[in-house]
Amino acid sequence: MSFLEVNNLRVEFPTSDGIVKAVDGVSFSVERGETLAIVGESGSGKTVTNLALMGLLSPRASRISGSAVMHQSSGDVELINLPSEQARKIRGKNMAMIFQDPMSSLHPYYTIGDQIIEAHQIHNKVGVEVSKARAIELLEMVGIPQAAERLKAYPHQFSGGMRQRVMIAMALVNSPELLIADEPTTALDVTVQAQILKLLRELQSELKMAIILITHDLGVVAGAADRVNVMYAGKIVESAPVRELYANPLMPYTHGLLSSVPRMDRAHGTRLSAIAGQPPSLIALPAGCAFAPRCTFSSRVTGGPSRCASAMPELVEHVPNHFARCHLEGATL
Amino acid sequence: MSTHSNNESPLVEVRNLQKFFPITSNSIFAKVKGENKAVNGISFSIKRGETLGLVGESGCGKSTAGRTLLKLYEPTGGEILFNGEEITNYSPRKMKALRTKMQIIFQDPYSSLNPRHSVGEIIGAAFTIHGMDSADSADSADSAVGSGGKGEIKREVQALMERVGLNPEHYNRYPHEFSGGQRQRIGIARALALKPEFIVCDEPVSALDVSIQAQVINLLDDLKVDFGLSYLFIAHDLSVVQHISDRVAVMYLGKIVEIAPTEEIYQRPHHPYTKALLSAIPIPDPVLESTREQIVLSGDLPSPSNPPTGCVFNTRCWKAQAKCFSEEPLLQLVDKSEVACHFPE
Repeated sequence: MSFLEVNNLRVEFPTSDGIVKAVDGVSFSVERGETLAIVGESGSGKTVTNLALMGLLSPRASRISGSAVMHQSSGDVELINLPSEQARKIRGKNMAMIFQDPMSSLHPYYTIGDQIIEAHQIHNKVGVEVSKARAIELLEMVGIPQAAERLKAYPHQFSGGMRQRVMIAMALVNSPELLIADEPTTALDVTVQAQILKLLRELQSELKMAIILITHDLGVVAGAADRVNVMYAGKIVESAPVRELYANPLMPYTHGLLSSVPRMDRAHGTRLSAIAGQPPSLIALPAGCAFAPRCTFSSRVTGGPSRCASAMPELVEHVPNHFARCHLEGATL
Repeated sequence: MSTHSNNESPLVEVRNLQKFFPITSNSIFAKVKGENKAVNGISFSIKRGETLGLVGESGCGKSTAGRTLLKLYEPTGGEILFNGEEITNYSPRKMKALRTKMQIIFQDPYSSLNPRHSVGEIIGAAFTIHGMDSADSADSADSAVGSGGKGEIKREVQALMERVGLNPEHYNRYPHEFSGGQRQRIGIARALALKPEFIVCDEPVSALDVSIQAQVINLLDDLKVDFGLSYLFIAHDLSVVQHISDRVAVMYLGKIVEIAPTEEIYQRPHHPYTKALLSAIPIPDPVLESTREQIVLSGDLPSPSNPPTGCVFNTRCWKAQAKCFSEEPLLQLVDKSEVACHFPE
């Protein structure tokens, strides 16, 4: 039994233009101590999937169905459509999230200390002094020097990288078993990104958390993930252990993504193989494979491009532990 | 300081370029309290048909350098030469004529296009502003040919749209009807309208998704050949810069710390900062990622209003010695690279 089991999760947003199918039947699992990366482009549903797990989507604006069971040490809990009262008890305690933009996710009027202490106080019936000591401990753990003094500092007094460290400290203050990191390094410079990724790796091996890492950066995934889910137009189109995925992508979209990234270890001046076209609108999804209009491999499919356009392939295990959603059925690309 | 002192004069050259921004106090009688030395004495040249990559982290001054070079900011000091002619003190009127030859593509395709203007108006504005009825007369930029032939402009704009991969039938659409990648193509078409010789590309792909990024990079590659362009390609993504540039300059805190041919800088970085920067970039290959050695720099960028004395990198450098704190290193030739370091690798 995996630590987190997500089954057939769907998130729809009714809008005046039609229903936006942001997440369209997603199933996956995460183990303790494992980092699962969710990769995809803007609008592929990677963030919405995790907002649904965290219970952060407004029930009035969205329709959520499916299941996500977290088998925590204190008992199992179903995260989908959890009453907000119960969700608040779990959120920030058993599961926590770090957001992309550390500039806008800290409150500018409160000190760093106030914000971390508050996160601890809400879930623990202890004195403020205890929470304060915990806050200092956490700031030291994420590598902020003179932690006791920095408690009194405001977010604007910190650099981007330092703020992201504060966000991580705040997320970890109640020792969560699941950490969702949504593009945690996208707003940071590469040298700072390297610092933060190293920190997350160290903290994970120390605390044995399950981490879901949402990113669009295939380089970050290569260094940080154990397994990868590739998402396209609300669906998981490929899922495999990280090395297997990069060595042998089975879905043309993954293949295209990997070959469209400029790489420093490749000769300079070679032409990039871009994926033509754009992702489909989530309101009017094609009947068949959502990637079919951009796919260059569909002529190799038995039944030809018309099959890709009309029938949605299932997510099938073609190689042990390696799933792909494609009519090519595991043929080498 | 340029090493390219051969007969062929460079298209663009800057010598000891400086741009300081005043830091003022928060009162109505604003007093200047200090200076933010965004660009603090940089020199480089770009040959015809060449792409120079300018890389560095946020706040290193790379965008300011690009904009000062085009005189969108008034330089604080130094010289700017275009086609061998000094343009540092050109009046706005003289600059306007020159702007047909030097253009810029901005980072954010959302905020760099006027939402109330149609694509046709955005791209066509270049022709009307410069008083040309068609792009064909761009060669004789000074002969203002009234604002004749609206149909002519439309034809030119649609040809440009087609060239950058937009549907010419979308001439009357507004920016919000386009995706990020398409908007960046509009920005590129606008920059190309007057057949410039030189384009500053200021982070042109960093707001785009990977698959779209590759489309735009390929487009820029093709246009460079077709139109005989030279680029100053500003970016923080070193893999993109490596792909597109002939030479690369690395900036840190308002200074160029290393400038070298692309192959050289990526294979044999000589400045410790270049080395750390390159090693920090994740490579999309899990096998390589787990084995390669990474230099993780400690600390953050110092404030550009109060840069460290001596070498600007001395607060984060693992090789720093007494000399690095007292004496500023100047660019010197090491192999094929110019490096500003007392103890190059």
